[in-house]
Amino acid sequence: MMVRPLLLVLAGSALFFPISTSAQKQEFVRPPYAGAYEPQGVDERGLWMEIDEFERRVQKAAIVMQSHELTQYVQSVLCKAVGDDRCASVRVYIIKDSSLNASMYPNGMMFVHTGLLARVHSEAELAAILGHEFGHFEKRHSLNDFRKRRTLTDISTWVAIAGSYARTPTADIRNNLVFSYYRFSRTQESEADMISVEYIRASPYRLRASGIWQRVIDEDTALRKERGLRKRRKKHAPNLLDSHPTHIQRIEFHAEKEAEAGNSGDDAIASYRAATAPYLKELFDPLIRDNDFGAADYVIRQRGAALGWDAQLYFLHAELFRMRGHPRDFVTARDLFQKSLDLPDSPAESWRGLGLCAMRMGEHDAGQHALTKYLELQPDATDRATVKLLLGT
Amino acid sequence: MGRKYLAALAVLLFTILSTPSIAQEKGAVLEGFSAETLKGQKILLFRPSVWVGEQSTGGMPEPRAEWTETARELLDAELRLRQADFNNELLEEPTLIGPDADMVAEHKALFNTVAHSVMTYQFFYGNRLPTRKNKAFDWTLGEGTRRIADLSGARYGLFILTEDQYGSTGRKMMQLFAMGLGVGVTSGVHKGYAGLVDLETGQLVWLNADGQMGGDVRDAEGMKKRVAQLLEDFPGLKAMEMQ
Amino acid sequence: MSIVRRITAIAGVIALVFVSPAFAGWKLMPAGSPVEIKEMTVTPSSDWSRAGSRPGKQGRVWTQDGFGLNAIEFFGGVPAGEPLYRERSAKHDPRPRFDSNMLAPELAEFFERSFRVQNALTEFTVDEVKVAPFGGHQGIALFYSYSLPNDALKRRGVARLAVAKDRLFVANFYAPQLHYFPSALPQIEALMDSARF
Repeated sequence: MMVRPLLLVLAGSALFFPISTSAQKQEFVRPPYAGAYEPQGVDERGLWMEIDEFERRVQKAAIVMQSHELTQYVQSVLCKAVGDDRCASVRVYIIKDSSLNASMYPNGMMFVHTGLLARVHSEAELAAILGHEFGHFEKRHSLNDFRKRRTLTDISTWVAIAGSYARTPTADIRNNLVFSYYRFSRTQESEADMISVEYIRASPYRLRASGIWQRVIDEDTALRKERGLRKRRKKHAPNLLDSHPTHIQRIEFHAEKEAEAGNSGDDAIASYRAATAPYLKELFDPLIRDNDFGAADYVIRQRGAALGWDAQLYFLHAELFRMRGHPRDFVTARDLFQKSLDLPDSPAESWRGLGLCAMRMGEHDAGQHALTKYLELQPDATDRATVKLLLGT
Repeated sequence: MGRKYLAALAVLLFTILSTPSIAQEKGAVLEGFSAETLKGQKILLFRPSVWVGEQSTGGMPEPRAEWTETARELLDAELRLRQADFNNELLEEPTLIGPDADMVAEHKALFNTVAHSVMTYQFFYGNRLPTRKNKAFDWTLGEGTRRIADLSGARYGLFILTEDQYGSTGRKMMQLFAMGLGVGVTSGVHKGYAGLVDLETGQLVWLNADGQMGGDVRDAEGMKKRVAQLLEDFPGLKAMEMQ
Repeated sequence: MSIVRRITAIAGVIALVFVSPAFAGWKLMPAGSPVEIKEMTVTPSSDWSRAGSRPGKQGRVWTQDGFGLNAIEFFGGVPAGEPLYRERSAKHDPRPRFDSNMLAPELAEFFERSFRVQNALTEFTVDEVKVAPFGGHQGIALFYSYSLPNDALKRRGVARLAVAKDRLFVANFYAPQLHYFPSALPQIEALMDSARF
């Protein structure tokens, strides 16, 4: 039996005012935004202080993708999703990291990982996740998490010491306290999912979140399959230790909402493809270097299926196989490099990849030909010395 | 069989109780460096690194903005007061932008790493590197500090860092409980580094580094005590009266 | 469980956790004395301290002033099919595996991927790759930069790799970019040049 805390949250929250339930898109109105708030109370100010220092360092960090164009684009999607007055208090930073993640801090900093941009296929999907994160911000969840965590760690340690002193087993009591923390967080995550739905319904976008979570499950399955691990059992209800609703719960929740919303709203798929295509290599690079073949393979295929295969995507897929380097992988990779080279704007590194594959397969002439081509196109390549070794020069 | 266990327990507890509460040195000075060397030189006081929070029962550090702000103000005030005790003129860290600002930030980060290394691998008896044990005090930040000398007009630079996590009530109670088991559990973190660097060469000429400093940095009296500890045996101080 | 045994057990655990930090098993590597790391021999020209725990099955790590200021790893012959650094779980956290058929550019990639995963880095750049003999065999030298999360200090490294007898030999040095890396480099290059396998 699935618990539905969501209804309770809805009942308590007077955030949104549906005007009518017709199929018209502009039916939901967002309430007036209270604006960026000043920290109240001790815990919150402490957190803000740490975070402000953090932002100063972040701005200079090499881990931030310094592309103004892409950052502006992501910010514009956020603005369409949650409205200009809300979006004005946010500063987006794109972080080079392979995980499907975005996070928001109480001071308005929003981190969007390249792993997220690699995994979503439309502005609508991006908006759903950004809306979820903004929901945490608006509900000030960061602070709640922090506060709760402190209390429970305290009690937990207390009990452990008291237990051993009194020589009674304390494992059960301790675990129950830990469970309670996670349940609290899960409520917050559900809340954010809820709020995200409401933002999107008041935006020009179509509700598109369930697909993302389904693909997350499938990606994990693919990763585990490649490693020879059994599939994770379907979880309809969270474990006591889960800090999020299960993926299946989220899929069901969102699918239901999407059904209700019908066809209204835009996906904005073409504009998402156009905006991200020039940056595909940067968006996928952390993912393919992670040593999680099954996951990267799945994400690349999904992008191709949804947004089409271009030279960059074939190249990335080829690199993935080449670096895994099982005997048959070189054949697969070579074919993919060739596919990339047959399309416009293939990166020069395709020639490098093609050449290395050929060499590994014993085709020295073909290999040397391709590597020579690579050096012609990239005379300043960082690894030109090692490539030249293979040319016998 | 009971006797054997009791004996084992006794040995174990004895070992625990008799382990020195982490014997370590806390300060060092470069051989040959003294008040004489400092005479007439200007000292750049880098903006101190200050962090104050609370340590929960479970050992988690929690920031406290008010405490940190208070401590920063108190530290600035106390250092200003103590200027009179310095034989040397103290200069304020200039406000820089761009690559010079990054350069100074990087040097501060390096000072922290070096001070941490000195504390962990030279001062700490249990963990001394064979390459540092029983050797003279000889550590550097590198010659890049010369640019800082040029920008500031100072020959020496004084770095200060304090990090305090006050043990919450819960943490203190845990200490009591643990004592009942015959074990030492620390409550709170009171870390402080004060280091003087010759900006012409980058050489660390004097360092105090301690993981358990005294003085409550949230009030003026405590900060006075803390600064006194940080500046203990600083070669550039005029002779002080005993408190 | 008897009362005494329980208390002993708890006290033992608490002792490990709360009482002094590891007596880390440091050993002096004196200048001039050749040292064997599995199938590799190196001769330092100055004193180094060797840590008790190994970074990998065929590895050792040394420092002079503490790992945050200078650290050099040696791997004396990683066989084909094995990872460079110690794998905590082959099933859940597999590491890139060495293949003795790897070409020079692939060796550079293997090192990069191994180091990145080992240190959980997203911020890592290869600055230069050179061809350079190592241990009396043809090899490569890789210069790289990175920083640890939440750390203002930029770091640099140099790794030398070569394959001999179908096994991989590596020497890898890393230190802060500010002063420590550049000043140690000549000594490090000599140390790496002294390698024989």
